[in-house]
Amino acid sequence: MVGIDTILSLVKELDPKSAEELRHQLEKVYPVDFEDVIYIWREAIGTESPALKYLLMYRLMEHMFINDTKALTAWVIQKEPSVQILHDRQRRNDVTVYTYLRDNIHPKAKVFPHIQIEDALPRFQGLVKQVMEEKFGLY
Amino acid sequence: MEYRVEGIIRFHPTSKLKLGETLSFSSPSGVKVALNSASNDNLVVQVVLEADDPAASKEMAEIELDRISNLLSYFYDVPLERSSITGMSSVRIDAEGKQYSSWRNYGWHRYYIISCQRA
Repeated sequence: MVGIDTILSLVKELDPKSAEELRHQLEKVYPVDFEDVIYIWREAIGTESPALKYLLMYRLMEHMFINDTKALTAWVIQKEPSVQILHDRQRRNDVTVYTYLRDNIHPKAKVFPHIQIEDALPRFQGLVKQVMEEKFGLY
Repeated sequence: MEYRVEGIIRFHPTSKLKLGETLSFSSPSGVKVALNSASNDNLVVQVVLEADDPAASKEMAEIELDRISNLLSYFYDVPLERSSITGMSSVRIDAEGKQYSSWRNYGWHRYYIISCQRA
């Protein structure tokens, strides 16, 4: 039996204008906190496991809101008004589906939320980037 | 002494970033950097810097390589496998005008004296 193992690769080729933009990004001086935070971003982006990537992205989001879940929830609702809201019995308040999923990523979960995580991850990653852009003034 | 340190940024096989030509820039730390795409679409990084000794130059280059990797990952959403220093060269001219050029390969942990010639 012959097997073919092919890895499809997406190559982003930078045109001269994009290369000039990259040069500007590499020469720029950033806040120290930003350089610390993007290290976690790099770790998250490079992680293949969706659940682990989700946890790292959530950790970044928490860091941006200094672990204030109420402020995080309010910001997410403002940016994504249609976001699913669930009641958290332990916290005795409402949280977004993003916080709910983070709370349910553990081996003892009755039903591990694989599908929900994979569904929510692209939107959540977009939100994390948005909050970083806002907090660090990167546009 | 001036050191030229080479490193590589390895992208995850599924997503890569390719440069059409050499991208040269000065880092905020003052080091000169040149980025080139290798044939396998990974990025070869050359850092030119002044340092007191090879260990200090390697450390400074590693910090710069990490900074570049983090920024590429953030601005272009490209996953990286790893980034590492692959080698280093330095040029020293002694009192008699002899120029010594050396190359240290970090991939194989070997040290070569490549050439010794009169400047």
